[in-house]
Amino acid sequence: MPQREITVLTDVSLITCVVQRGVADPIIQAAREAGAQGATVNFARGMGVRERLGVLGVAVEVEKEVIHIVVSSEQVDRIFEKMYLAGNLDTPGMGIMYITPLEKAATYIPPEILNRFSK
Amino acid sequence: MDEVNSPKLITCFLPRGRGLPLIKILHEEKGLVTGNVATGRGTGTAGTTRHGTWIEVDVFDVMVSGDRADEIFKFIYEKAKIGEIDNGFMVQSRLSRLTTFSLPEIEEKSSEDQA
Repeated sequence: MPQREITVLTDVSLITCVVQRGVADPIIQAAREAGAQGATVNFARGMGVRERLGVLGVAVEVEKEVIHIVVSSEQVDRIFEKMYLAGNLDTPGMGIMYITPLEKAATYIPPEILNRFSK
Repeated sequence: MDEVNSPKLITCFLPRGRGLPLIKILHEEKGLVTGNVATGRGTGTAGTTRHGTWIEVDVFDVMVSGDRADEIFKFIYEKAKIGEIDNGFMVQSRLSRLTTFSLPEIEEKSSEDQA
């Protein structure tokens, strides 16, 4: 049986953003307006900031939403900034985000796009 | 502390329900025990879903040593049919450190003990 080839994407990065539950949607919207093609969100719970804020900690939701967005390395800084501003991450307790450089990514690539790059 | 050489993290964003069967196949056929699955929601434009539509997804990740990364990446790609439409996507990244993990030995109970 002939070996199937895998077409992988390089020069991609993963943006991960951990915010309080309920505030992911505007951040994702900002990312999409900046050029992100999609997002994945799952729930988690966190600790740290809430415990340190004392009485003010009641304003920080323990339940979190974790947003993952894969973007090209060309776009990553711009999308990262847009997400940061949309989530008000410069406000204490609002969340954290980071970038993970990826070695490679794989997904469905429409044949017309695949043919364009294989020429 | 026992650590893995050149560790890699392979993360897959799959349609809901595909994560646990993949863990089982990786354990049975590749001997891996470091898989995790979380459930989330996802949106994208590459598949047949309408732009911006949210769907349920399984976020699956597995940690492997560097010398097995390409083998496992290719294996998951083929088993999960990542290259076909609406089957999600997968990424690989480098980890700084990874400790070894193995399952404890548990004796199988005989049918007499279970009665």
